[in-house]
Amino acid sequence: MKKQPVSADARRGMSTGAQRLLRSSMMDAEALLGEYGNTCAGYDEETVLARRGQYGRNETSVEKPEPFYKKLSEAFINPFTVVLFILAAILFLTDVAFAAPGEKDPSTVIIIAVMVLISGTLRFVQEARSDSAAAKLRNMVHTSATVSRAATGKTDIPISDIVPGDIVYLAAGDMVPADVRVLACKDLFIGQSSITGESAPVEKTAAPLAKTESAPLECSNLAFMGSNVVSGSAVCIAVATGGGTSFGAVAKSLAGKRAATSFDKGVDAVSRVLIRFMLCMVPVVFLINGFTDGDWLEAFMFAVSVAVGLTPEMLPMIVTTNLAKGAAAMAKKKTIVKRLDAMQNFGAMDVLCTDKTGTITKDKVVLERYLDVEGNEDERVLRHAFLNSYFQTGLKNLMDVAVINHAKSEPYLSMKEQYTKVDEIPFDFGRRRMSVVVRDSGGKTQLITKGAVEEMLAISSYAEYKGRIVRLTGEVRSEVYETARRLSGEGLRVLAVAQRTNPPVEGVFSVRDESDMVLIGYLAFLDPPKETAASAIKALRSYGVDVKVLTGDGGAVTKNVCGKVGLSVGRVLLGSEIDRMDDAALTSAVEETSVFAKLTPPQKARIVRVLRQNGHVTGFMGDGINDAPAMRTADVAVSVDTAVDIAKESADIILLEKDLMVLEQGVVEGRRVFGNIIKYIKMTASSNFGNMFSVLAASVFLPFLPMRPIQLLLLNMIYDASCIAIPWDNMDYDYLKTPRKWDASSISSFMAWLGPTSSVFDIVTYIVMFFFICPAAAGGAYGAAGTDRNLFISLFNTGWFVESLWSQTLVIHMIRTPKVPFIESHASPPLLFSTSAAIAAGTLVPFTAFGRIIGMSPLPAEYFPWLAVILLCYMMLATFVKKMYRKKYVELL
Amino acid sequence: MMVIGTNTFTAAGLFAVLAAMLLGLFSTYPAVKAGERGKSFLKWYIFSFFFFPVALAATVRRETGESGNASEK
Repeated sequence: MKKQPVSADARRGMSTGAQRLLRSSMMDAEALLGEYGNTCAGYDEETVLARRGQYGRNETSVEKPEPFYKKLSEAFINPFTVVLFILAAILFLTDVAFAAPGEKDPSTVIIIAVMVLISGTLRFVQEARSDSAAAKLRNMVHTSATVSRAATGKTDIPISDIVPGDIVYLAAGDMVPADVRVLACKDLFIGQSSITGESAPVEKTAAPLAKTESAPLECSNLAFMGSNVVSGSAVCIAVATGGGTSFGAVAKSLAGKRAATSFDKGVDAVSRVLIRFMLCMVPVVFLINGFTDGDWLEAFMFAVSVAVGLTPEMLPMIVTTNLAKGAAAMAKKKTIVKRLDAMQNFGAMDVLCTDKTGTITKDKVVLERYLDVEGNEDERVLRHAFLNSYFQTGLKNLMDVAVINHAKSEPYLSMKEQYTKVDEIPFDFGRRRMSVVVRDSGGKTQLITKGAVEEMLAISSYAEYKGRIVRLTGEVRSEVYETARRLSGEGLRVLAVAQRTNPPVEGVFSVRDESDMVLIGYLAFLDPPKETAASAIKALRSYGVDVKVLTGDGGAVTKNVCGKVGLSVGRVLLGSEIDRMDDAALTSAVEETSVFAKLTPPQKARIVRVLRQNGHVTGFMGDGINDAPAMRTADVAVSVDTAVDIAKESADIILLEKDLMVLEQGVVEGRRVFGNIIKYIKMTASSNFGNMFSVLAASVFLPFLPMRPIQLLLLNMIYDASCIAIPWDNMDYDYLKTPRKWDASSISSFMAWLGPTSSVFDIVTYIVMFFFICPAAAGGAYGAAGTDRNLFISLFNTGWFVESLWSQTLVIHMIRTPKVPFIESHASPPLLFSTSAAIAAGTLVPFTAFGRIIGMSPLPAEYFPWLAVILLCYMMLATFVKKMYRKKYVELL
Repeated sequence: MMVIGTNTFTAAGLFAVLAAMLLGLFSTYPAVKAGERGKSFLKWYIFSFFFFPVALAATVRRETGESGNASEK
C-alpha cells in the first residue's frame, strides 16, 4: 500500500490517542512499562480499578442501554397516552375539582387512568422482558482476552475489563482486544482488513521504531483493536482502550441516527391518520350534540368519550407485544433480535443483500484439487504440498491448514516420521511463496516450494510434463497459464508446487536457492459455502425474498460460489462499473443483477440505498467492518456471532449459530408479527371509522346520547382487553408466503370498506331499540305520555353497548382471515378465550350492580333474538364486503 | 311491534342513513365486476349508488351471458 504523505497541519490535527500510539511505537519495552507503571507480572486489582475509573471500560459500543427511567417514560409517554392524559386532566377539573359538592364524579377519570396504566405497564413489562432475554443471549457471545494480573497471573478476562497498561497475550486466532504495542513476538501476522480493508495479513515486529511514522496504522509494532492474529504469538501492552482506539473512532463515526425504516414510517402514518380522525370527529360531535340537545356540558363529555374511543391507546402495546413475542420466538432459535422493530422489517424484507465470506461461505479454505502440470489429479503433488505445509513454522495460513486437514490419513501421517526438516525459507508477501528443505530416510534432500503461479514460474526452469522432466518452454508455460486461468474461472484459488532434489548447499538455505526448480503441479482451493446456504437461499426465494451477494472479493470466485448456492449468476457487476454509473443507471442495474463483486464499503451502502429507493425493504447480512455502512443503510441488518464487534453493533439481528435456515424462520416470524399488528390496526381503524358514522347519525337523529360517556369508556376498555391476545393469534399460511410491508393506503381503503359494514348494524340496533324494544319495556314511544323516559334511554344505551361489544369483538374474527372464520380458519385458543371472555363480561354487566351504577338496565329476553339476527346478518354482510374488497385489492390484510 | 310515535324525524333519518349505507356497500358489487372488465371502478360505483337496480341488472345480465358463452365453448 502506498504511503500518503502527511502534512504538518495534519500532524498538528492528529488526535492525542494517535500521538500516544506513535510515541509508544518508538519506546523500548522497559520505558513503556515504566510509563504505564506496570511490570510483566501485571497490575494489582486496586490499580486496575483506578485505571478503569480514569479511562472507562474497554467498550466501543456507542449504543448504551437506555436507563430505567427513560424506558419507563417511553412506555407511558406516546402520542396516544398524551391525549388520554390531557383528557383525564380536563375531566378531573370539570368532574372533580370544579364540580358542585355532591356532583363530584371521578369515575371517568379513573377509567382513563386505568387504561393508561394498563397500556403503559404492559408495554414496559413486555419491553423489559424482551431486553432481558436479549441481554442473556448476548452474554453467550464469547469475548475474552488473556492478560497478566498480579493476583492471578496469566488469566482470561472479558475484553471490556482491559485497561491501558495491561500486559496482553496474543495467539493465532485471537481478536486484538485494544490498541497495543508489541513488546515481544514470534512470527506475528495480523489481519487488519476490518480496519484498513487490506486483505493480506501484515507482519508485526517488537523492535522500537527509529523514526516517527505518519500514522499509527503505518507502525509495524502496533496492533489495533478489531484486527485479528493470523499467525504467531505476542506479548503486548495495551496503549489505548474503548473509544480511544482506532476502532472506537470508526464506531463513533458510524453511530449516527439510523434512517427511519419502513416500520417507523408505517406506524407514524397510521398514528397520524387515527389522530386526524379523532381531531376532526370530536368537534363535529360536540357541536352537533350541543346545538341539538342544548346541554353543552353533556355534549362535551360525550365528545371527550368519543375521543377516547377513537384513540387506539393499545396500539403501542399491541405493536410492542407482537414484536417482543417475535423476538422471544427467535431467541429460542439462538437468534438475538437487538432492535424489536427489526422483527417486522424481517417479515417485510423482499431483498436480502449478503456479504459472501463468512456469511454464505464458511470462511474456511478447503483443498479442492491437486493436479499435475497437465491438469490431471496427482497424489504426488499433494505429498509435496503436505511436506511443505507440515514442516513450515512461519505464517501458517488457511491454505496450509487446508492441505494438512486434507492429508490426515496414510501415507501422509507416516511421512511426518519418514522426513526430517533441514531448513525453511519463510513466506513473505513480496515473493508470495515459501520453501522447506526436507531429508528422507534414504538421505535424499528436497527443496519444496509452493506459491502464486506467476512467482513459481519465475523460479522454475523445468516441468514434469507428460511423465518426463522437460525444459519450461514457452509452450509449456502457456499451458500452465491456461490451466491456472481455467481453475480460477471455476472460482478456485490456485497455487503452484515445485521441487528440487539434492539442492547444492545444506544448512544455510536462502531465497537464492529457489531457482532452477521443477514445476510439478497445482493446488486448487475453495472457500466453500455453508451447508445450509443453498437451502436457505432456496427457502427465502420461496418466501418471496430475492437474495443478492455484495462482496469485495473477485468476480470469478464470487460467481462460482454464488452458482453453487443456487443464485442466478447471469451478470456480475463490479465496483468499478458501479462507480461509472449514475443513480438512474444503477436503479435498473440493481434490479437485474444478483451478484456484485469487488465492492468497497461505500459502494455496498450505495447499492442498498438504491434498492430502498426502488421501494424494496432491504436487508443486509455481513460480518466485517467493511459491511457496517451498508448495514446501517439497510432496513434490517443481520450479522453472525463471529463478526467483528462493529458489525454486531450495526446489526439488528445476530445469528448465534451458523445455520442460515434461521433466516427463513425469522422471515416467517416477522410476517406473523406484522400480520398480527396490521390485523389490530385495520380492525381498530375500520371499527373507529364505522363508529364515526354511528355516532354522527345518533347525534343528528336521536333525541339523546346513544351511550353514556362512562359506558363508552367501559366498552372501549373491554374491547381493548380482548385485543391483548392478538399477538398470540395464528396467521394463515397463505399470508406468510409473501413479503409484507407497510402500506398506509391499504389501511385507508380497508376502513372505508369495512367500517360502514359494522356501522350498518349499529344503525339497525338504534332502530330496533328505539322503535321496538324500548317502547315495549318503557311503556310507549319516546316522548309519549306515560313512557318511562329514563328507562327508555337506559335500555337504549345498554342495547347498543351490548350489540357494539359483540360486533366489535366479532370483527376480530371476521377480519383476521380472508377465509370463513371459525370454519376455514381458526383463531388461536388465547384469542378465542379473550374474545369470549370479553363478550361474556360485557353481556353480563347490565345485570349487575355495577351496571346499574353506570346507568345500565337489564335487557329484556326479546332483545337477544334480535341481537342474534343482527349479528348473523352482520357476518353475512361482512363476508360479502370482504369478498368484494379482495376482488378489488387482492389482499385483505 | 314498531312504535314510532312523534319521532318521525328520527325514524326517517335512521332509515335513510341505513338505506344509504346498505346501498353504498352493495354498490361495490357492480363496481367490482366493472373493474374486472377494465372499466372505471369509481364511475361504476357512483352510477350504481344512484341507479343500483339498473347497474345490478346490467352486471347480472353480463355475468349470465359470459357464463353461458363459456359453457357453450
